[in-house]
Amino acid sequence: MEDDRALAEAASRGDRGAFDRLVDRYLDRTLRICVRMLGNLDDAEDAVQETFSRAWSRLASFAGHSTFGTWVTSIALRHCTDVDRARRSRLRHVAALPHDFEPDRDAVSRTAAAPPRQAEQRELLRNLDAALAQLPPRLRTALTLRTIEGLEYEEVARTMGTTIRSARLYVWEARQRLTRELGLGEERGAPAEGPR
Amino acid sequence: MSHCRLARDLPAYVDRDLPLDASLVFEAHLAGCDSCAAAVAAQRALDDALAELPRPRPAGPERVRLLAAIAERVDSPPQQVRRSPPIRWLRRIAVAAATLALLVAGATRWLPRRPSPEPGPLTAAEIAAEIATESLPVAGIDSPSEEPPSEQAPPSAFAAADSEPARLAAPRGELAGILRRLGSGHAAAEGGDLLTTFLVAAQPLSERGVSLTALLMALLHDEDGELATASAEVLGAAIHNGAMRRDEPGLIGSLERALRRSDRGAAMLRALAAIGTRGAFEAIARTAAQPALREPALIALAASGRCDLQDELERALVDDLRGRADDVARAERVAAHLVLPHPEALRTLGALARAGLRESCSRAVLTRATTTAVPLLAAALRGGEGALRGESALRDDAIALAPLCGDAALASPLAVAARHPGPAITAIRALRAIGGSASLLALAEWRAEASPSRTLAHAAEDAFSAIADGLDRAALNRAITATALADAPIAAAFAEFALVADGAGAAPLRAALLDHPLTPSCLRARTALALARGHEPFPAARALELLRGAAPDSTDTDNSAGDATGGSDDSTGASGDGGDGGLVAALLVLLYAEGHDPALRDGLAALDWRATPPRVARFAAAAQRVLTEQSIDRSVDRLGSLLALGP
Repeated sequence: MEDDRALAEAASRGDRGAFDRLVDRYLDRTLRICVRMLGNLDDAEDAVQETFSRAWSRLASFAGHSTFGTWVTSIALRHCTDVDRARRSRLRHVAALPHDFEPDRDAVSRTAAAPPRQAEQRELLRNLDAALAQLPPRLRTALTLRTIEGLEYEEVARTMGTTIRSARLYVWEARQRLTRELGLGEERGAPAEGPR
Repeated sequence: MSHCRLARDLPAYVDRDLPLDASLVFEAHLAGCDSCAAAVAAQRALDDALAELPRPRPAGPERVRLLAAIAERVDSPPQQVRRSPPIRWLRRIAVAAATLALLVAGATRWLPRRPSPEPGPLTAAEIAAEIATESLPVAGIDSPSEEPPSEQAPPSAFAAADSEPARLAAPRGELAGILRRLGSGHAAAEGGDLLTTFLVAAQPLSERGVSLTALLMALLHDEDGELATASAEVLGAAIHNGAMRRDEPGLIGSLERALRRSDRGAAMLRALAAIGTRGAFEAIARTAAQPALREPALIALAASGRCDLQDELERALVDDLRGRADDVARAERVAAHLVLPHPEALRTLGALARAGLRESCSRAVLTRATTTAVPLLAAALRGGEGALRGESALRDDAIALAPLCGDAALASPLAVAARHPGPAITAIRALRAIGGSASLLALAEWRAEASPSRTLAHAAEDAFSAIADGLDRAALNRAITATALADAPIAAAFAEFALVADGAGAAPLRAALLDHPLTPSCLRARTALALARGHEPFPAARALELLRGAAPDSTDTDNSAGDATGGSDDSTGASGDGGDGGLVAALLVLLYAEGHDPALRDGLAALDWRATPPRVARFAAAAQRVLTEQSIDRSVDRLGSLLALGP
């Protein structure tokens, strides 16, 4: 597989084919992140389009200090934040996806996850979705990148423009809030000290 | 949350970020600490739930659509983007306020920074404080927690606060005055400024609770065409900027009724296009029945790229192409606006081409939308994902359109299409039209798998020759060094084409094949032998060099040269993979036999055959016997048979 850096360099010289390959490579991840940030597929698709459009126009400024994926994700996150602020309608949840969108059958799961069959599980997912949408953007971003997308903390930090330590604390804070909100066994009380 | 002494390791443990030894310690701790165990269980339950969240992964036609939409957005200037960011002047106010807040709060420390060496321990309390201050915009990442009050103005301005007709009479005149002052010359691309100016001017009306929507919709039917046009443009801009709902009750119907008057039809069409829903475009499609508005209506349909109305568009344009000269000209002007986001659009273009659309028009559409056209054409040619399976008509259209697109990326898909007997000859002609090194390789790929008729084989050979004629040395080298030629059957097919090619490009191709260091060895050897058989000049020094450079054949386990005096051909031996040494030896022997070149004779005599690959030595011996036993001509034929090249 061609190296991202090589493709990005080629794309910055006007090689549209190289850029299209990068788009194809990072489309899924960018879409997932935008869906998580904006809460619905329509807005996320539009955000994805805008993200790659901006990436194309700003290729000259991509200096390679981070990976291309990190760079594109940071563009997406900034755009999603703009959209989220300007949006007037309530977030629609991602309950119904069109049939062409496959559920990610390779989703990382610590158990042999099966589709939720019980009403209780479905209720939990609805509540989780709503709770995620209510998280402050930084916490939602950090949790999405680390726990849902599985990025390393260094990449999370680069994408968010913060330190690794801050990224760890954002993730932990997000986890704490979600488990409290969902009543998943956490005691109510003082916030955790956080990671070292 | 647990407060035991090891609780600080809990976040890292949950995140699977603890070193192994610390992780084992913590796991042992869990066995005796109910609070930590409960906390871990809660986090694991959260992880399980997060893993169950839907994770969209577009596939098939949906992926093609989304990629095409991205490509189109990349090609479009930012101001033409449908869903634009908030109104510029409101954003400037927000940013200015945010900047002031930053200065007052001295909060530059909240600006995002690149990952740097860890600054020191940071507690959750500090993070909580940082989160609490997220209302401060940070270098473009604005806070969603508060919205500037002024951003509420646009929605409420268009919300139907007071739409009683009796109360709108006076404000209607006032609004008409505003619109007249605005003028009707604003293009849709400047919707942001138009809307801003309008809202500022209409603010007194909004503050009195008058429904601007109702007024504007009423003005669509005003006797003054310019007023109606301006009203439609403001409505379109409001929808375009998200300041007004697309599903505003009665709007589509009102616009469609207003369309019947020709003095305002174009503006109504633009407003309907801005709405962008299926209902709006169905209204546009119905408008195509009106002669005066047929062209702008069809242009709006063509530019929308809507899959669901493609049939209506196709029918209208095919009808026009079969009509009078004026109708044909209109169809061509409309076709120039076609976009190709999905296979149905490609089908439409194919239908138009069959109906007589000029090649120049098709070419313009394809080259304008290369990033979407090429994948669509490739998919249709391959008949796989992204195209409709079994749709041979779409494939035939794609073969016809491929040369107009001219993209080298279509060469390999054309080779796939050429495997089907029906379209094979047209696909080969399309490859000839596209040309380039990619087409040479595609022909070799096709030939490696095909069992063509004599007619088809000759057509392919002619195409290969014609393409090679048009290539310079650099393009020939690109073809020769392509990774596809590492595949032996493809390399053999390529060599066969090169050997029979005629025309001005043939000799340079064979020379390039011979001399390029990356040429697969079997390809070079077969070419060298062909040159020798053709009595083309070949320096002895070069021949010796080739022989010395022949690599040991790792599969050299049998008498792969066959029986020189009468045995059957062994096409799996000396020819094909790794047959370099044997073929080079054959070449040398032929040269020796034909020319009795002293330099070559001396060079051969000085060569240590024990150091050459065994295959080379055996083949040389076999070739020597052939030459001593038979005439030169028969020797050439016999050696050619041994090499499975035929007489």
